Amino acid sequence: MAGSLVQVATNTVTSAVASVTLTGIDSDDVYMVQTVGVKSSNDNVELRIRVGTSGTLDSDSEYDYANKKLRADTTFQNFGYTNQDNWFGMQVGTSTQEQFNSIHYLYNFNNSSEYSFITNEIVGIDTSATCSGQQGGAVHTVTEANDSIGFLCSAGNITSGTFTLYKVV
Amino acid sequence: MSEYGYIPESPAQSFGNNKGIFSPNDIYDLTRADKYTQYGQLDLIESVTADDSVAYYDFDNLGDYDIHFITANNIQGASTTAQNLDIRVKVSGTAITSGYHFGNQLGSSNGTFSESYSNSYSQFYFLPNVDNETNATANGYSYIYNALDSKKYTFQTFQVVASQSTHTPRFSYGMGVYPTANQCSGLRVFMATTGNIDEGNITLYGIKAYS
Repeated sequence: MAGSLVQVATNTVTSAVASVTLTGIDSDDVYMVQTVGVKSSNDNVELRIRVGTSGTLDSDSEYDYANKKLRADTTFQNFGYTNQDNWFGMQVGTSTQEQFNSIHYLYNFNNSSEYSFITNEIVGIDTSATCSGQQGGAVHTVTEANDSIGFLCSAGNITSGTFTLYKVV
Repeated sequence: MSEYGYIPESPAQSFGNNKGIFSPNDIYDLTRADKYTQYGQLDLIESVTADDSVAYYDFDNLGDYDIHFITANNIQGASTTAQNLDIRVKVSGTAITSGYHFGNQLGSSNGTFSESYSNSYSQFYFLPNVDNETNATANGYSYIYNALDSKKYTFQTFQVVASQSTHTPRFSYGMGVYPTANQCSGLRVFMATTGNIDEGNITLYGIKAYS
């Protein structure tokens, strides 16, 4: 099984939910999360990411991140923030093809003595109907073990999308 | 005795939750139904080794995946003209040559950083500065999203590293979309300007997800 992905959890949203939590991080391996076709009930909202402890998403103000926002129609932007209560994914909305697709690698989530790290590789159609993406990294600055990761919107619900957690072994 | 050695009723089977004693036929049937636990969700679909015989490789078997993963390793072109190795989607067997959008961040070891973008491009952006210099190669990966979903656009992200004398070692990462909702029949990896793919390995994987 060397060099393989092992599916740990998956959730396909077919009716509106406030958040999606993927659990099962129980080793010091690197984990990967993929999301496909994520949409929201409300227009022009943020798709956000949080770590989870015992399956409950942490809403503390310990989320730091640095992302480069790429667009297909204009110059790029830098996003760097500390002490937020979530990691920013990207703006999503309700138009037909507005959606969020991403790959994230998770580091040290299971290690109670280290911060939890994540890399972001995101692409979608944003609220201005433009191809947009984010590439960057983020840290949850708490020395705790996180067994889960979750996705939610800044307002309203997630209405569709498939979220899958893999262990990289 | 019912299926899987159980009496009188066979239990429900699903990924990560198989119960019973399985015959080869059981395993075959459950695998086809995506209900048999087989760890290892990075499925190799096809790998090619370039040999300077063609300017592109078509991957026409995409299997059944939400996300595909392409790696390109040790790529050199046959031409001395530095150019991209890029990707096109194929629809009904034809490589699509227009209508792509992309954004790309580039950084070089000489300290130069730049960005490029377009909402009218003829392919997915992938490996930059591929040519035929000694020790100048390009390497990277790309994820392709929704290629098989007829109701959704096809998206791409990528990250690469390349070395070439004029441009010095550099990284590039970015994203793109083919903003037409249709089911792709394949993917083409090709030299964007001229000449064949001289050497290197290009591999297509599917990332398996069990429901």
